[in-house]
Amino acid sequence: MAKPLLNKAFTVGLLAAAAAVAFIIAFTFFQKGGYSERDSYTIFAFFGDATGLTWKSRVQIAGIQVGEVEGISLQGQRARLQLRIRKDIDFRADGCLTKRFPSALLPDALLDAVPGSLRAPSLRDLPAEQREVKCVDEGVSVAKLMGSLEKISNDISAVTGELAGTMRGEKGSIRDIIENLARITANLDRTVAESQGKVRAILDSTESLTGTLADVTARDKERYHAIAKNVEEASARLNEVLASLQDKGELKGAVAEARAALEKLNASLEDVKKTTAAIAEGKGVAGKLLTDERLGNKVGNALEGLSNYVDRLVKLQLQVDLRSEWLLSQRGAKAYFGLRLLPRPDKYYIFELVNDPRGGSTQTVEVDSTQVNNGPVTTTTTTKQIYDNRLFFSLEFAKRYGPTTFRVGIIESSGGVGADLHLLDDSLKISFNLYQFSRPQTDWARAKLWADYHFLRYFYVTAGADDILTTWRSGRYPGGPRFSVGRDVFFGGGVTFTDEDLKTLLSIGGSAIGGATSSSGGGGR
Amino acid sequence: MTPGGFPATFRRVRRIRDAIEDFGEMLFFALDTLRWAVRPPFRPELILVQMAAIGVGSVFIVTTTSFFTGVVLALQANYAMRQLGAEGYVGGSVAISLARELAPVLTALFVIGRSGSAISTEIGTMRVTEQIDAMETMAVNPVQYLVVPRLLASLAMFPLLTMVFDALGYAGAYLMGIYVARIPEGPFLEHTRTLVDPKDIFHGIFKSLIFGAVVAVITCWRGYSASGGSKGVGESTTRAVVASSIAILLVDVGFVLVTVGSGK
Repeated sequence: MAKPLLNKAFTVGLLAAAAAVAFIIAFTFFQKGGYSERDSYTIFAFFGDATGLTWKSRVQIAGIQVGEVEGISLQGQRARLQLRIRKDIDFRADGCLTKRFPSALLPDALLDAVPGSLRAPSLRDLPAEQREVKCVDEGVSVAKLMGSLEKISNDISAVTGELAGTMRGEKGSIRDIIENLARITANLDRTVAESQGKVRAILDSTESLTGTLADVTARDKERYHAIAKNVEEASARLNEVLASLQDKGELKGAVAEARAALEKLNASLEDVKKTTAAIAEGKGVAGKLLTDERLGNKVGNALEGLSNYVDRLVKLQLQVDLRSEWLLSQRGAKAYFGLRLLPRPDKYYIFELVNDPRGGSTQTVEVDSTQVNNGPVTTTTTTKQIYDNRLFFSLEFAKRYGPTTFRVGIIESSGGVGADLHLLDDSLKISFNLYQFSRPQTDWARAKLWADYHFLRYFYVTAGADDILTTWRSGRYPGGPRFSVGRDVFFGGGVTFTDEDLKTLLSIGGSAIGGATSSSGGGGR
Repeated sequence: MTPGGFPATFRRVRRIRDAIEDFGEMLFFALDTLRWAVRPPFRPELILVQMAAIGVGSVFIVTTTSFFTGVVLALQANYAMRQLGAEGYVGGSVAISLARELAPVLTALFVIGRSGSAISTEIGTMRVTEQIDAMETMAVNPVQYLVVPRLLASLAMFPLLTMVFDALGYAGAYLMGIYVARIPEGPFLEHTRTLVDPKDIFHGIFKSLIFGAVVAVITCWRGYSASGGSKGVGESTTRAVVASSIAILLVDVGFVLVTVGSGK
């Protein structure tokens, strides 16, 4: 019989396909690109007034969006704006940000950015805490603009009031003033016309006088120069005489002080000579340092090592992870306390303490041989399973390549490997662990698959399946405790945070242990 | 004290105590369902049947309501934003409302009305006609046979229907905004792209996943605990619809309170 055209499987598949197509279109359409952590970097700036700026407000250059506001927080009396900028935009330390209201009616503001000059260091290459944009202009809000306009209109109103008063005033109107000005200029014009002849005569006399003066100066030019030179020399001599007369009383004292100073200088030079001679012979710490090449190299290496150590310590991040999983079939909670040491963002070490309600079991085989009255030897083999509810530990090395992290090391007190897939800007992590390769109850290794979703900055939820390769069973050892093994589903949650204090304590503890080890080793040598 | 006052108070306290006990039993029922969900046999054919009933069965109501929700939202938003000369933001505001809130919540409410009541009635009828007891007699676990397929089908179908709601709602807003309200197409699409992030879509889908689990557990539990013949089945169906609708709104408020300001 032919299948019906619209059977259940077909309709469900059609619905799933339609939803998937809608999802892909929406995801592609809304994916802006350039603002993921990999494709962008963060900078920050302080504003006295962040009105109008919100999470995701635009940051633009020449009207083209190059970033967005990632977060706003209050620090003291100022607003700290965390901005995410596209990686291809090279924002410099002398760059500027200007808050602007693109619409006079809407309260939303945006940031106009000027990326700065090539002379200043690039913020992209600086550590995150030093990427501050210091040049900020808060622009003018509509409220401020309206306030200024109100002030201006009041001033204009006062000026026009005064003007109106002047026009209508009792002390004389503008019209009177203009009439007076017209009369004065008419009088001036008439006076100039009447005195035209006299003015011309004065000008002629002046011209003749200046001509005569020019002739005289040209003739006696050399003489005037000689006179000026003599006057200059005389004044210089006079200054010298006056200075000697003034310092006559202090001269003796000055000579005595100069002699004492010279004696001290001689003594100092003698000391310097002795010291440099001793250094040249390799005496003292400084001498050894300068003359002993091996020691100098050692000190150089030690300083370099110390600098590298401090550099690594500053970059080192320590994350604490507290996590609990409720195993449904087991009906028990598995608790984790983990420390994650991150010397680099793409490399870290995990140390974890795990309390597993399943506990651990070990198998021992005892062989007992007995012989009665020279008869045949009877061999009895006894296999014992020992179950104990113990604490496990994990010690893993992890390396991240793009969205994938690979882990290897000890997982829950046995050798193991693992991998993580990071999605949605690292909000979602899908992980897989394979460990406990030899277990007494089963031939399969323990495989665990789970997903963590960070719904807040520090908190996450988790769900997954443990021991997925083995069928679930539980039972009781003969005369012993219960055991559980096999597939189980769990869900739970956790909290993860970066702890600077713990990092400092660990580094001090590590240094102290290192120091103690090296000193005891040195003593034995 | 008025005559009969003490017994009335006692009855009220008793009713509250019963409600809390019922809630506790439902939580145990949910845990039991999760436990049975990972144990074989998995019965994919039953899951498929329920996917068709819950998902495909609700497609008509979801598509119709989503389209008109988008149309109405666009009209209202346009009316408000035109006053400010900001009608270009209509697409973005509608899209973000749909993605984060309206699509998951309205989808859940419509599926409760369409399929949640059917689930409750079906299981309730089986309970009062002792079919569930018969299953237990035949060593078939009724939770695994009846509830697990409905839970898994809800978990699969709610996100799909939410995505369909998102798409058709935005399509309705687009048609209304561009062709009726005459909003320029460029700003309409560009502001949608600026305002909405893929995270908003994921937020809505994650929410719908939780709603699916809540609806499946409540409606199945109400049917599973039905008693008192056909009248009891009717009452349990009504209680299932009311309880799951209120639960959806409460869970949504919880989501908003937890995620507000976190940027997630």
